[in-house]
Amino acid sequence: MEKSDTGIQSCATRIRDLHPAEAVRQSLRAIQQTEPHLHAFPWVLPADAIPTVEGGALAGVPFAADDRICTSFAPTTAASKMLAACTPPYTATAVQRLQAAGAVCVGKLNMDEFSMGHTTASSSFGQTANPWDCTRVPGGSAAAAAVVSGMVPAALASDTSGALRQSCALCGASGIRPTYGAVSRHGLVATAPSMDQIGVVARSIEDCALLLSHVAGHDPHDPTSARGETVDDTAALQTGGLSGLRIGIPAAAFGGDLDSETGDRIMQSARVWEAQGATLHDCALPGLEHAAAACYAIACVEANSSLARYDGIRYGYRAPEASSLHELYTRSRSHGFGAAVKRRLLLGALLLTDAYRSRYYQQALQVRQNIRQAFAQAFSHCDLLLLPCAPGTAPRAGGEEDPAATHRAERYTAPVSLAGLPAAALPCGFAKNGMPIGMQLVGKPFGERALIRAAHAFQTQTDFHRQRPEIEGRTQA
Amino acid sequence: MTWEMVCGLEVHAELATRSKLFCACATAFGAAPNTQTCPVCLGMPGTLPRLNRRAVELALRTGLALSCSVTQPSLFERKQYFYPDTPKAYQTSQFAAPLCRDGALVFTQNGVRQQVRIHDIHLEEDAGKLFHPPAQPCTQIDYNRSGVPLIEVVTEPDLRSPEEAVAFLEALRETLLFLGVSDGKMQEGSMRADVNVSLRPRGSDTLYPRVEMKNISSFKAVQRAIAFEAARQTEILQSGGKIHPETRRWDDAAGTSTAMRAKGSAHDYRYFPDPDLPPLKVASAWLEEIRAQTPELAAAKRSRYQAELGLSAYDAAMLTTAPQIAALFEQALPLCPDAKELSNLILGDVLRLMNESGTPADRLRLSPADLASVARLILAGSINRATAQQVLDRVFLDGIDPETYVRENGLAMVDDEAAVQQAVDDVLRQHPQSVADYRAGKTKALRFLVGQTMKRMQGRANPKTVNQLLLKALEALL
Repeated sequence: MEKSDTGIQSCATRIRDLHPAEAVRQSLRAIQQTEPHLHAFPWVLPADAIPTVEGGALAGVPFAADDRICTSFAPTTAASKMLAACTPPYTATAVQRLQAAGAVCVGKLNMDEFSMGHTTASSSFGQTANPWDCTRVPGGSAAAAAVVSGMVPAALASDTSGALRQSCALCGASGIRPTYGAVSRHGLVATAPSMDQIGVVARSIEDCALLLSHVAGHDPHDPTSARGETVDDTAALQTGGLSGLRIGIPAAAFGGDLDSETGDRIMQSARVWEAQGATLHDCALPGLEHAAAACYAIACVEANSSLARYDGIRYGYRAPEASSLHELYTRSRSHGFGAAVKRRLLLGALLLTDAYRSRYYQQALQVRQNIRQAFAQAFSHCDLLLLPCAPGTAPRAGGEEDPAATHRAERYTAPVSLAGLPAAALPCGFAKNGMPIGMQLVGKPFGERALIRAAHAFQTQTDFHRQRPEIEGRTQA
Repeated sequence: MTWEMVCGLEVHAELATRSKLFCACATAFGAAPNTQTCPVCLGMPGTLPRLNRRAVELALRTGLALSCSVTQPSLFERKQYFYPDTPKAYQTSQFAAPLCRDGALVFTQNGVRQQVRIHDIHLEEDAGKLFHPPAQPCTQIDYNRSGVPLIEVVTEPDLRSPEEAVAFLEALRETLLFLGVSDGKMQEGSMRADVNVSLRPRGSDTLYPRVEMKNISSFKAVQRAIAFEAARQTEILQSGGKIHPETRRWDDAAGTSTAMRAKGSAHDYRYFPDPDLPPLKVASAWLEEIRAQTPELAAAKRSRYQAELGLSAYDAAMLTTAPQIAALFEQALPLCPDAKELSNLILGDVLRLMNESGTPADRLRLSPADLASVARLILAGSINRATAQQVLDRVFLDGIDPETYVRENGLAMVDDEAAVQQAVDDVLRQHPQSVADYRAGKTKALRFLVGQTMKRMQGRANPKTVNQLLLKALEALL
């Protein structure tokens, strides 16, 4: 394992002494060397297309965005054949804000098709590899893999039911899913709009905080983006003890199917906060066990609606030689979508029909209400909650596609999505098999400041986040 | 068994906003295809709706004018179905919590006061338009109309005859026009009506299965469609059959309705609240502002014109055929307080000019100041009616200033008695036969002689003076 501290801030600082485009070129070289092993980038900025960097707090910092985030300068396909080679005429607000600060987008990142999965296996571009072990999966988003392997220091990734956080846990990266509404969804290809968010991934919480401070904030293009709430977080980075901080640990989230090594590691990590003055508390999260199922049901219903527009008529894949309107719809959509997506769309359609609506969809909405209340109750006596992030370390790639597996993989991230709360994913150790173990810290609505403060404090006392994988066959940049 | 017809209407009206319901695209009618579109109204991935405040205001204005209560909060929902004119494969509409509820439209039909209850008024976006070019094996889609804001006014099934339905629609249209909410042009599609018709035994008060009819594009067609449907259902019921709920397509040219192709019996639209649009709460201060700024309705104007200005019911009705006509009248009034004179000019000349030139009310460009000017010239005795018509023609067609025009063209009435006398004498000398006819009792001859005198005076004589002197001269000859 190798150590490196190429954070965004130091990256931005170094750039002032170098040619402004140098960091971008370094990133492109790293991508060139590492891509053959990891297969994380459906699109990379051509070396002769590096834009002139004027200035800004993030001048010259290279970043990547996942393939659900619209960019007018690169195809945005949501890793689906349905949108193959489609380039949108607009760029997502979050990307625009980073660009306004001088950062340069060097690539689009792989993911499961429309984020429906937890391994990238369903991507129309093919599977991405975990940089710690190329036979294993990187999680539902390639962002963590790209960051941890040194290809880019920063990434924007979508998180609906947990892909961003789960992939951080599996790859040893740091990531933040913001409070619902804190970051604009304008330009994010929607799947489940009541849960979709754009989050940030980097090699440290400190870097994440810096990115978040640029992308967060009300956007008139997104009616669900919050007004007047600040998540300005860089101020939260001052250390100085955590006395008074109450961290809740819901027993219900541990045990059961959770890999025991993972559970133990996370529990041990809590002691780091204790040593800094925080107190650990038991707390209950009643209904947690139903959250993943409710999240899945709601996500399927909303995705069925959000993906209904893909019919090949205005853009995207259009089945050739359809002889009727009906055939055009059924063929384009049957051939354009992969199996996992179709399964969810069908389920989503079914759950909203008169016959099933009250039994499943209404129930799921009720569970959502209950979970929200459970979290609110827990936050009445805790400032943060510590939960697992993934059920274990990264599984091997190429396994049998099991619809229930994604369900299980999202067990700890789904409840947070349902409640619209902010959460940080950060590495807290390594398993005997050499793979990273991650944990999830959950905050109150618009409580990113406390979240960042505690997560950063953990990273000042540990160096799991500084570990870098050695990728077999790759010469380091 | 006598059957009673029960009918309800669902009326869609395009709101008179400059931009669409969820984006800034223009709503103007008649642009080249797909030139008023953007990623939002084309349903491109990653786009989000931004609610048009003015659309909400106009919808509220309508609801308040129809005595509805405002639902707080109201919800936007996705009405889901696949059709090429619907780019997101759902229409953003309202369902469980519509903006306005439980109102009524009061109107008169043949002098009798009627009231039709309004179930709800809700906001929704319009779809694009499909064209089926005759020579090509394809369908073309124009998305200019996609996203245009609509209100849907849903009535309770309170209508009992085709005539009543038409009277309701006319009253609703008039209301929307005078509120400035919509231009109500059925032929342009800015107002559309679907009808729901069912029959029940007279005396019963349950509701029987109803048939919906679509594709009705004029008020006359509404009347025909309802009458046809009532007859069709009567025949089925009288022969012992049953009516099943369905949607039928009205074909006005053929005068029949046909079952619509598998668009589904009771299509399940799988409504659910749109997660992209937060629940809509309307601030009470804003509601009060809207209430206070609501324009006066036509019926109120008609009462006021009669009660306060002494105009006849006929005049009041003619002046309120369009809000622009009423506005012209009301804005000219302060400049020329003779309501009757203004009314005469409008009814006699302005409406005629509009007809002759094919100018619809919403393109009327006659300034109230100019109209008042002409009226004042008549009242001051400066010009006679024939001249006034001529002047008004020029004002209407060329936008000239009346007083300048009269002055420059010497159109002012000549009150020179001597000149008139001279003309009278000349005319009487030249038309002895007419004089004889007059003496024989033919009053038509007098009109002819007046006409001839006016001609001699190049139309500028004061008709009163002409009449006076002519009669005097004729008397003298007797």
